[in-house]
Amino acid sequence: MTLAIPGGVRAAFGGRWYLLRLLVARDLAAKYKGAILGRAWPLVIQLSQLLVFTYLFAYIFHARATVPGLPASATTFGIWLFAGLLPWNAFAASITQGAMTIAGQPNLIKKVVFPLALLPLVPVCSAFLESLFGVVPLIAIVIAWTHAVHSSLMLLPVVMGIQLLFTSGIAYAVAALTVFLRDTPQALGPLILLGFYATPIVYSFAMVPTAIRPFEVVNPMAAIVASYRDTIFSGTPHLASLGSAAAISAIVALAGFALFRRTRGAFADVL
Amino acid sequence: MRAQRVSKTYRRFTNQWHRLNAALFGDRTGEDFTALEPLDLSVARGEALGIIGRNGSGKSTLLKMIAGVLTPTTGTIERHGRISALLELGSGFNPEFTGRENVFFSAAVIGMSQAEIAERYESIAAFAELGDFIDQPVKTYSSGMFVRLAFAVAVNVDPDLMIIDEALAVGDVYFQQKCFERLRELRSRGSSLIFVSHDSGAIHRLCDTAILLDRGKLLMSGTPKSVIAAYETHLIEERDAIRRHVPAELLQGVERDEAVLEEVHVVRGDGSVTEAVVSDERVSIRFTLRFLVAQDDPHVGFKIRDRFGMVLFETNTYCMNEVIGPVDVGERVAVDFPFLASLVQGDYTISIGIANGGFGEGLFKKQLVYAHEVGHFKVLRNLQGIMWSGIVNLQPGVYVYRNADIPDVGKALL
Repeated sequence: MTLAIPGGVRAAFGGRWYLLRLLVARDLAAKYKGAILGRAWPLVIQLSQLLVFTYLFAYIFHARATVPGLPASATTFGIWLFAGLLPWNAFAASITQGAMTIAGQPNLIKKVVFPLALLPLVPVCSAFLESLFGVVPLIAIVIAWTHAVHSSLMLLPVVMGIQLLFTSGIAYAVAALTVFLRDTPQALGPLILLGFYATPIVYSFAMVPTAIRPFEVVNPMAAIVASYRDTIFSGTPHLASLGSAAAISAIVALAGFALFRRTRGAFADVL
Repeated sequence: MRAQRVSKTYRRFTNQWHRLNAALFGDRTGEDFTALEPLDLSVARGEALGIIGRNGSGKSTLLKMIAGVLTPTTGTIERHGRISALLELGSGFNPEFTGRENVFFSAAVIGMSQAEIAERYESIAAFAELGDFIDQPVKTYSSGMFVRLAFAVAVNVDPDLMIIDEALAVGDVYFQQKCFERLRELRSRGSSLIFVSHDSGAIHRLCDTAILLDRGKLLMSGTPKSVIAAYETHLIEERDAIRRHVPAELLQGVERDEAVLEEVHVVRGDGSVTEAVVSDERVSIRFTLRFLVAQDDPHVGFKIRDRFGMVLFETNTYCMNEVIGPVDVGERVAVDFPFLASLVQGDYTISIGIANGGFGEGLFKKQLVYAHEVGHFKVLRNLQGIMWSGIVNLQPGVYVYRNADIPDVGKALL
C-alpha cells in the first residue's frame, strides 16, 4: 500500500514539475495582472495585516501577551497572532480555491488531455508562496527585535512540509467532491470558519480546556500553527505533537489523493 | 494503440449522491444511455486510421477515450508514448496570455520539459506563421490564427500518436496543405495518426484504413475508399427516404400573409427527392408556393449559403428575365431552378424570396416572403471526379508541354 501510492504519485506527476510551475506562475500572474504594484501586492497585503493587528491589539484592546522568546511589549500580541494566521490563511485560501479547480475548468477536463492531478496543487502552491511574503518579513522583524537567530528556524521548512501535505490532501478531496456535490464550496465557508475557532490561533493551546485537548491532537493545523510560533519565536517546538500532525497529514494526503484518483475517471462524464 | 472491447455508457442519476457513489464504488443504479458499443481497434506505429460517421455516431466519444479524456465504461485501451490530441481547437489556450506563453503551456501539458520546448519554440512559431502576433494575447487572434497556433504546437512536439478531431476543416487551404504535408512527414518518422472527419477527401488522402461508425456501432472497417463509399451510399439512402415539408416556424423574415411557401425539394436527375447530392451532379430546387393575395408581377428567388452563412449564389426569376405573370388569390405556383451542384463537399442551406413588381437591377416594389433555411442539402465528394479544394469546382482542363513543344502563350488551348 505504502509503496503503491508513491508509484501512483510518480505516474501522475512524472516530469510535470515544469507544468506545475507554469500553472502556479499563471495563477499568481492572473491575480495581479494589470495591477500597478504587480508582484509587490502579496507583500503589501501581508504587511498591512501585520500592521493592523499590532495597532488593533496594542492600542485598542490593550492586549498583553507573554510570548516565550519575545520581549514583553504592546506589539507582542499582534505579532504572535500574525504568526498563527500565516499558515491558517494559506490553508483556508488553498481549500476555498482548491474546491473549484476541477469543477471550474470543464474545458481542461473535457477537451484537453491534461494531467488533472496537478490542478488542486496549484492554489495550494500559490497560497503558500503568498504566505512566504509574510513569513520572511516576520522572521526579519523578530531577528531585528530580539537580536537572536534560533536554530529551531531550521525546523520551519519541515513544519511547512507537513502543512503542504495536509493542505494538499484536503484540496484533492474537496476538488473531487465539488465535481459531484455542488454544495461543497458553500459548505466549506462555515466549515473553515469553524476550523478557525476550533484551532488555537487567536488563543493559545494553554487556554484550551483539558477536556478538549485530545481533539486538538488530531487537528494537524493546531500543531502546525503552534510550531510556526515556536520555531520563529521561542526555539522550542513541541516535537511530539508535530510528529503526530505529520502522521495524520500523511494519512489525510493519501486518503485525499486516493479519493481524487478513484473518482477522476468520472470527472469528464459529470461536468 | 490498442483498444479492446471498449464501450461508453452514460448513466442518468437521480441525484448527485448516487453519482458520487457510482464513481467511488461502481454502484449500478440509474438509466443507461449507450454512446458507443464495445469495439476493438488497433493502430500500429506509423499507421493512420480515419473515423467516419454522422453527428452522434460516437466518433468523438471514441476519440476522447483513446486520448484519455474520457474513461471507457468497459474494455481497456493501451497507449504508448507521447500523445498529442487536437480534440477541440485551442481549448487549452488561455486567451489572456500571449501566443508564446500558450505555446510553452500547451507543450508542457503534452509532457515536454522547458528545455525541450525552448529548443522547439522557433520551429513552432515558424509553422504557425503568426509573425509579431505571437507576442500578443491569444484573445486578439482571428480564428484562423488560433487554428494555426494550435496545430503548430500539436505537430511539432514529436508525438507518437496524433489524434485530430475535425481540426483540419478550419483554416485556409494553404495551411491545410501544409498540415497534410506535416502529418505525412510525421507518419514517415513512425508517428501514428487517428483522424476523425466529415471530410471524406481528407480521410482519403491521409489514412491507410478507416472505420465507419453509426449510432454507436462499428458498421465497417476497411480501406478508406471502400468505407467512404459505404458511408456516402448510406447517407444518400437514408436521406432520400425523407420528404421535406417546411415547418411554419422555420419561415422567418418578411412575411406579409400575401404568399406562402408550401414546399421546398431538392430533386435529382432521376426525379427522386434528396438531401444529399454528389458534387458536380445536376439537381433542381423546386419551390411550391401559394398566393393568398392577387399579384400583378410576382417573382421568386433563392440563395444558397454555406455552413458559415456565406451566400454562394443568389438569383431570381426577374434577374433571369423570366415572367410568372399575374396570379389570382389562391393560385399555386411551382418554380424549378435546375443547376450544376459544382460545390465543395459540405452542408448548404436554401433561402427563398418572393416579391412583386421587379424594377431596375434586381429591385422589387414589394417583398412578400423572405426566409432563411427553408431547405438544406449536403454535397458529397464526387469520387469519380478530380481531387480539388476550394468553394466551387471550376472543372479546369490541363495541358502539359515540354521543351520545344511549348506553344506561344497566345496559342494556349481553351
